[in-house]
Amino acid sequence: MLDLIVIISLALLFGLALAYVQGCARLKGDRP
Amino acid sequence: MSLYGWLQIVVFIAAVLLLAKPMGSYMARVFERRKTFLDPVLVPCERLLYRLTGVHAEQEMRWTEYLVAMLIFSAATLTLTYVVERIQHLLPLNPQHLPGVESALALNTAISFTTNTNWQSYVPETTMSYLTQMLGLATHNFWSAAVGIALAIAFIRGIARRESKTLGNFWVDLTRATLWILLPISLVLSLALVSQGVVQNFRPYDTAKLVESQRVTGADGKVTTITTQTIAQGPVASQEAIKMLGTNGGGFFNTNSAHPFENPTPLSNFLEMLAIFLIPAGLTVTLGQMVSSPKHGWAVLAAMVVLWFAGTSVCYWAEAQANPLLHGVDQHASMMQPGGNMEGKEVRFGIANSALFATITTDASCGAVNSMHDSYMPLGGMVPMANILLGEIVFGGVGAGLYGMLVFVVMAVFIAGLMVGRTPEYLGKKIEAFDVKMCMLYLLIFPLIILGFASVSVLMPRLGLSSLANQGPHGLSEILYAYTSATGNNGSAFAGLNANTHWYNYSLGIAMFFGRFMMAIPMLAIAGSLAGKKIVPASAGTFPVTTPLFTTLLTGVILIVGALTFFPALSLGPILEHLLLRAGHAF
Repeated sequence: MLDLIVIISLALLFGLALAYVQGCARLKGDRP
Repeated sequence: MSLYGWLQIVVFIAAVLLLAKPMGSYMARVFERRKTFLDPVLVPCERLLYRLTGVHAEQEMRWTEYLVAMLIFSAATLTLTYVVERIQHLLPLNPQHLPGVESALALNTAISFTTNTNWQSYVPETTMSYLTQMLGLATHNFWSAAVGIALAIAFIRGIARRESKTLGNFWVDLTRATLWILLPISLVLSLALVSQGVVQNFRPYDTAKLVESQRVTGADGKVTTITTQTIAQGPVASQEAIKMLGTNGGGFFNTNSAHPFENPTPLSNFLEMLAIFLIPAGLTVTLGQMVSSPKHGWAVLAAMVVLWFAGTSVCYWAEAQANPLLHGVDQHASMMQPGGNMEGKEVRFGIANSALFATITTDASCGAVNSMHDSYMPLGGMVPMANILLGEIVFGGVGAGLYGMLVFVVMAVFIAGLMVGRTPEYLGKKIEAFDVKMCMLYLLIFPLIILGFASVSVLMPRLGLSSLANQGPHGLSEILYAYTSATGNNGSAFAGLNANTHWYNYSLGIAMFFGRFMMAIPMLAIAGSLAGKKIVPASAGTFPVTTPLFTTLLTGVILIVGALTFFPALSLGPILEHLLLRAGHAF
């Protein structure tokens, strides 16, 4: 159970990082 | 302080400067895909790897693609390490029959090694099997260092290229950094360390009978007589070399490079210190060569040397002072003793090499230690912390140090432009609003994470104070250092804080994650922006980035940004502790 929570948390963290990349790209006007 | 101490410091930096040019030129050749003497052996390996993984080496990536590739690689390798830790009891090479690592600790460690931090909330020799140390941790020492180098090279290409949409290929840069740079040097360094007495084997731990038995009182008040000692060993040398070269810092043993099996002699100590600065110093030369302005590379290196020397001097001076609370003890240097504060230091290294190591390991994002920073005098302990707080850009981690420094370069150029009222330019590229916004994101995320988590830990005693060994300003320093080390991806511990609790494992894990990826993203956005710009010809109004004036401005910007951001926190920690020590209070 704990492992599942950890894997989901990691997916969320990396998802956040990807969203951050997209946010920076939008700010620049690039295609994400 | 002694003449011999200073001589050792001077010899060390002279060796770094002598090796910077050959190392930097070699790395420039590797990443510009020019011929090197290792090509006959490594090019076939490289081709085979691309064929097996389906990588198209000629395919260039935009900055967003480069970042996504980096994140995918990091996510995959992080998960691998987590799984290996959790099931190590089912895997081979576990002669001590160590159980699987607890979930929160496994997550913390996996993030720690993926982000090149190597923060260790555990005792390695009683927690990690040989397979976990090699497959889960040592591999990350290579991968995380190679990722850092790849990102720095991408940033350099962003500066060097004109009107380009791409920054290179992440997989190619990662592969070449590993095969051409990290593996060969690690191999040579491992053998050199073995020659000095660093162990390398797969044997179960030995048990030795003590010459004199010892009586130890446990936490429950029960007295136990100890008659034997377990001597931990394992494949240490192979991990030690890349631990230093990749500025990783995670020790095979709990006491890290203070352990005689990791760092047995003054020569091994010298080689380990040299390995920490070798690639970061070389990368400044790589920068100069790849942007066709070698003098700019030297100007950046000069700023690093100035900041390194300031830190080393203060740390050495502070540790050479006598402790005012040790009344009646002769603490003066003489032929019979080094004098000063020898607490927490190994006799075979002495004060100069301990202060030098502490400064180097925190200038770079290494985090290996050969003495215990918690036992330093307050101002001596402040230096390692301040080094990390400056952003790990004084040489810095492999790759991460250079790109962090280049963000400061962009800021310095921007400030110079503001001062003279001209549009700032950096090597012919105009610095515009987007670039400065990304710079500010980079610079603000760092203190936000450190000070935010440290504040929560201090204000919520059940979370942050329950595992703290010291009170007062020293206790604050221990907490502040932990988050500074994690966010700066350094990994050294001030000690005095048991970080193997749920709060610290999770919060430090998040701090390491954000400190690596959330800072790399705006950095590469700047690189992508710079790559797409035209080169403006230099004019009389162009601020030269190759002169001592530039080095001075860059150093000033770094110090001012660092001082303004963190001075209040340092005042409540090590500076207050220093003043109270003078008044007769210890914590």
